Amino acid sequence: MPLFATGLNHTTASVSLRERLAVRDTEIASVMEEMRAQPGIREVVLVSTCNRVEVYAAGEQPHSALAFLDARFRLGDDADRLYRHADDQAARHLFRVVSGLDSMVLGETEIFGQVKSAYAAAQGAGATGRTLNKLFQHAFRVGKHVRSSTRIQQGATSVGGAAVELAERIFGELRDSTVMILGAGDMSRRTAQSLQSRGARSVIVANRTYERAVELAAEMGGRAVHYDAWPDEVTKVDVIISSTSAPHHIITPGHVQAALRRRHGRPLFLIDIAVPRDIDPACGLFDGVYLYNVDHLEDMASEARTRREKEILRCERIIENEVSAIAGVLSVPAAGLWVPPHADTLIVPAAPAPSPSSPLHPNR
Amino acid sequence: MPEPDRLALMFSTLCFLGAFAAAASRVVAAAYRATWPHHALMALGFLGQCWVLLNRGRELGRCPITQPWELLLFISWGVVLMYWVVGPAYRVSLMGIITAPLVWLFQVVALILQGTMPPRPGDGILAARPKIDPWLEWHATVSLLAYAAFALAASAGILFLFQNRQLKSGRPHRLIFNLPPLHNLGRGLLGLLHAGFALLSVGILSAYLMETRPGTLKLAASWAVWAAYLAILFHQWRQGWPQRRLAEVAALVFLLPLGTLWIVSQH
Repeated sequence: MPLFATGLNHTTASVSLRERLAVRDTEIASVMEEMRAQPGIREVVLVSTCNRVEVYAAGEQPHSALAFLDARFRLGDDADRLYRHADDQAARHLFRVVSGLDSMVLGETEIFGQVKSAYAAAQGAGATGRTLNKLFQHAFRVGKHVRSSTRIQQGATSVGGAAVELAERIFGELRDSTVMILGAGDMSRRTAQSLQSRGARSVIVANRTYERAVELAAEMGGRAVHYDAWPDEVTKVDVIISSTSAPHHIITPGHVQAALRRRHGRPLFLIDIAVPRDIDPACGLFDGVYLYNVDHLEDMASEARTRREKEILRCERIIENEVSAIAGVLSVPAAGLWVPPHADTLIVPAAPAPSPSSPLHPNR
Repeated sequence: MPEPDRLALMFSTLCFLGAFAAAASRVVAAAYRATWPHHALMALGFLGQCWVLLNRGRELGRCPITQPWELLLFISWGVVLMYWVVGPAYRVSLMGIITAPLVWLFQVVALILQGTMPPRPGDGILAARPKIDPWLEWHATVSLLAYAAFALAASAGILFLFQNRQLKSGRPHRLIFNLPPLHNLGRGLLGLLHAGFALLSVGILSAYLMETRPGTLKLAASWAVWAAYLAILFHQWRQGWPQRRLAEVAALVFLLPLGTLWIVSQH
């Protein structure tokens, strides 16, 4: 049965256009039902996330999903911004999406769960049938295969992510870890949130303006302390994220030495996000103290991004093999079109399929 | 030593080399999960060890710890035994990485030593000792298991130092992100030191219950090892070393039990 995929994502549409097409969870079932009422559409899965809105349709005329979206969301000229993938291209696109190759952060894993939820919702609404069931189940296997056999998701690609990786390297599980934020800046808040998302149990906030500390502590479910009281807390915390605007070092070797005596060998992870730096580099010389500044974390994130980019080719090879496999299973016609990764064009260009000598060819 | 024993020891050593390679390849591929080939190779290697030790025990009519290579093999067996009995989580996170290379190294040395030593009178002939002293067997087994724990602690210490250095540099190599977390390594190391010390204490005390008391030199060597580890644990309990210092000490002090192996086997 012919397949068709259409939609837009962060590379093809502005956030305002994505907002117009975004479908709330509560409305997804009804929109899919409306779509299935269109002539030539038998099966539908609608994926709606902050970065993409996509429709996967199967039927005699699945491309009528395009006309439906145009009419339903009054797209007008913006309809040209929708990408269109037919048959094996649609399968390839879905495989790239679930593998994180089409994501804003290359290789991110969240999209896998989001597509899975979208598929479950479609299944629950009775909007899927043999074709889309096979396609999506195969896509989930492909996503897992790509992630387990390549390094596409290896390493953190953000400062917060890098901090989490390091903290886990030092402490193992972060469940028993306490984080202290010095200076209630946005970067430190995001870094602390990253640590919390991985289990850090409590957050202590100290800021020159106490009210701001209280505000941030409330937002993060932690507690605020007066700025001059932060040295008393160092013995209780495992991670300190500092981002004050002070022109001099806030955390000195004296503070660290005093704290280490009462920590019984438990490591201390210091993250200095401030410029100029808040933490005296000499603090990192103590045993059990690991000091990272914003440059270290940025470097780690940048290396991870580069590493992921180098993995794209391996991922595409796996996907090409899987596209050939699913095309045989679903008996979808091969459109013979190959969408280059990260294509600038919005409408699928009529580029040739990978030649046998191409590194992307399935048999290579 | 009869040829089949040597072949079995070689086979076992190769299995551990294979397990080491399997674990290393997974670590380098940044996807460390102990896989079935790793477990299978560890199991085959362990069976090879059991076969050699059993055969050797039958020939000698006692626990096969009469020569340094036998001692190394017995310690290696103890290390792998711990790998199997401690539990799957620990096996995957720590011992899976450390055990295979450590055991492989010990057995390579055992093979070299065994190859250079002339066979003892009676080798290859089933012994017919009228009576086995159970305290001797107990003492030998427990003491060597203690040495196995110290060996693992030393390996964990080296792994800790490597990671610590990387993390301190501010630009850690990607490889360390597939190794056990630093704090867990430190805690595991301390646990192994405690376990080894407890086992060694039991082993030494049981020596005084043997029908024939061990030689003075052997007892002195054992007490020296015991005292060294007691000093480490006492200091750790009283003042608490930073984990890096404990790792260094665990790695260095292991040279003492390793160095006394010759005395233990000869006297």
